[in-house]
Amino acid sequence: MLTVNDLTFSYGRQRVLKNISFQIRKGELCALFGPNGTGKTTLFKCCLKFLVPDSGTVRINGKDIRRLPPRQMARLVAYVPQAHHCAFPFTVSQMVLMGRTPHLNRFFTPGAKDRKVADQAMQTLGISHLSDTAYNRLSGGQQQMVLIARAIAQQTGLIFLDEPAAALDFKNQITLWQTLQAIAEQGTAILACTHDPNHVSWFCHSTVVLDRSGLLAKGPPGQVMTQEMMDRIYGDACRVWNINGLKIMVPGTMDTGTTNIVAFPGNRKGIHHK
Amino acid sequence: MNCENTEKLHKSILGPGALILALAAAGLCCIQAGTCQVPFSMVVKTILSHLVHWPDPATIPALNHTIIWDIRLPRTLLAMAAGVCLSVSGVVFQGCFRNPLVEPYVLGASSGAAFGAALGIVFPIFFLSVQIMAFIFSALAVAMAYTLARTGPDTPVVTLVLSGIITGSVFAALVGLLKYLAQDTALREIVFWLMGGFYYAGWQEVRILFAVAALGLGIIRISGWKLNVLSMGEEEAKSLGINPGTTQFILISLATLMTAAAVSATGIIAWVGLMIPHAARLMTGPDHRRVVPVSAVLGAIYLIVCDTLARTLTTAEIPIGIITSLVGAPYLFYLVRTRGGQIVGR
Repeated sequence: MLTVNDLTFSYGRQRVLKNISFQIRKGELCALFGPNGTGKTTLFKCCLKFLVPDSGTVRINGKDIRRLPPRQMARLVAYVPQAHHCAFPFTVSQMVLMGRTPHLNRFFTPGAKDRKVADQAMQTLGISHLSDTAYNRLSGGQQQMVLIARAIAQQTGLIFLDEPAAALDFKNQITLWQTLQAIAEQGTAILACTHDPNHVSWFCHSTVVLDRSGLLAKGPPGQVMTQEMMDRIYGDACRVWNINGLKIMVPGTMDTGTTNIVAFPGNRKGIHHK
Repeated sequence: MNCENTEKLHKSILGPGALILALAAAGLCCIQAGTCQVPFSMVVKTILSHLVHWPDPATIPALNHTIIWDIRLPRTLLAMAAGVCLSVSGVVFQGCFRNPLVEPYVLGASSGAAFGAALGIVFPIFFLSVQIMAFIFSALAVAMAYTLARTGPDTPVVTLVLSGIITGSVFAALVGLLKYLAQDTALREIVFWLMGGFYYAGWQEVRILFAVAALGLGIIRISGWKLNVLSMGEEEAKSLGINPGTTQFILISLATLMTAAAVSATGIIAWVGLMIPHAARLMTGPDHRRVVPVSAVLGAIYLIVCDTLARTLTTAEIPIGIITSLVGAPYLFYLVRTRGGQIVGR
C-alpha cells in the first residue's frame, strides 16, 4: 500500500530524516512512534506531499506521489489532522461531506450517493446523532471522530492520522484505537503517529520507530517495544512490565504507595475518594 | 428532522428567484425616492418604455426620462454592482484567509486605489483619468502584497496579510504626501473621493462594473465548495484534493479585480465587505455555495439603501462611506453581541 524508500529531508542545513525506508501493507494498523523532535510530523508531511523530500521516493499503491496531482492523490490517501478549531461554524455532516471532494464532478455538487457514503461514515464512528451540530461546539474527542469520519468518507485505501489520541481522555483513547482497528480490519491501511508507547503495544499491528539517528526499527510491537528499545529511546526513564501477557510501559522511577490523595472541600461534587 | 425542515424553508426563502425579486423591489423603491417626487407607476412606466418601448417613450414627460433613466437608474444599478463586488470579494477573502475579520481591503486594494486617484486628481495633465488610475494602483497594490508574500511555491496566509498591511501603509503614506502637496481644490476632491459616492454614475460605468460583477460572481459561486474546503486550511485542502495555491490565486485575483473595479468607480466604501458576509452567514449557515449569492444580494440592497439615504436625508449629499459606517457599525455590533458565536463559530 505505502512504500517509503530511502527518504531524506532537511530543513535548511538541519537534516531531519535520513534514509528512511519502510512499507505498510493493506489492512495494517501501523504506529509511527518516537520521542518529540525526531521528525514524525516531517515524515508524515513528506508522505502527503506537503513537503518535498531532498531524495528518496514515496509510493502509494505503486504510484510515485511526485507524479500525482492533488485530486488523484486525495483518492488514494486521506489525512486526519489533530482536532482543530474551524474558522466557520460548519455542521458535522457538512464537514464529513467534504471528504467526498476528490470524488465530486467538476462543479462540486455532492449527490445522493455522496450523502449516503458520508452518512455511513458517521454511523461507523457513532456520531450520526451529531450530524446537525456545529463542529466547533463539539468536545475534542468528538471533533477527532468527525475528522476520522471525513477520512472514511474519502474512501481511500490509506489513512494518515496525526496524534489522533493526543487530545482525548482515557476512555476516548481506547474507543479511538478500537475504531481504528475496526477500520483496518476492513482492508484500509492506517499510519498513525503517536507519542504513547502503551498505545503502540496495546493496539497496533506494527510500528515504525524513529529517533534522532533515523529509523530504529519496523515490526510488530511485541518484538519492537522491548526494554532495550525503551532504554535506547528514553534513557532509563521507562520500564516495560508484563501483566498477563500485556506489555505496559511505566515510569522508570515510580514511587508507589506513598501518594496521599487529599479531598478538597470544593471538590465534593464529582469526585469521591475511597 | 427539524433542522432539515428549517433548511428547506431557508432554501425556499433564499432561493435565487426570491433573492432577485427582493433586489428588484428594493431597487424600484430606491429609484422612486428622491427630492423630486415621481409616482411609483411613473417609475415603472419610464423604465419599461426604455426597455421594451411600451408604453411609447413619447408619452413620458422628458423630465422623467432625465431623472429616472439618466440619473437615478444608472446610479442605483452602479450601487448594486458595487455592493455585489465588495460583499462577494469580502466572502472570498474571509474564506481564503480562514478569518472572519478580514475584508476586501486587507491586501491594500483601497490604499492603492486612493493613491492612484490622488495622483490623477493632483496631476490631471499627466494621467488619463481618476478612475483608471485608481483601478491600476489598486490592482498593483494587491499584486505587490502577493509578490512580497511569496516564498518558494507557497504563499502563507499570515505573510500575505502582513505584506498587505505593509503595502497598504506605504500607499497610505504616499496619499498623505499628495494631500500635503495638493492645492485646496484638489485636496477637497481627494477627501471627497476617499469617502466614496456615486455622484458621477453614468451608463458607461454601469456597463463596466456590471460585467466585472457578473463575471466574478459567476466564477466565485461555482467555486463555493472549493472555498469551503479551503477554509479548512491549506494542508487539509490539499489532502482533500484541492490545490490550495492555484485556487487561492484565482479566487484572490477575481476578488481583487472586483474590489478594484468597485473602488475605482465609487471611491472607498468601507464596511460592506466586512459586514455583509457575516449577515449572509447568519441567514444561510457557513456553506459558501449559499453565502456567495445571498451576500451578493444583501450587499446590493445594502448599498442602494445607503445611497438613497445619502442623497435624500439632507438637501446636500452625504458621502456614502459615512452612511455605510454609521448604519453598519451598530448592526455588526448587535450581531456580535447577540449571535457572535455563530459568526466565528465558537
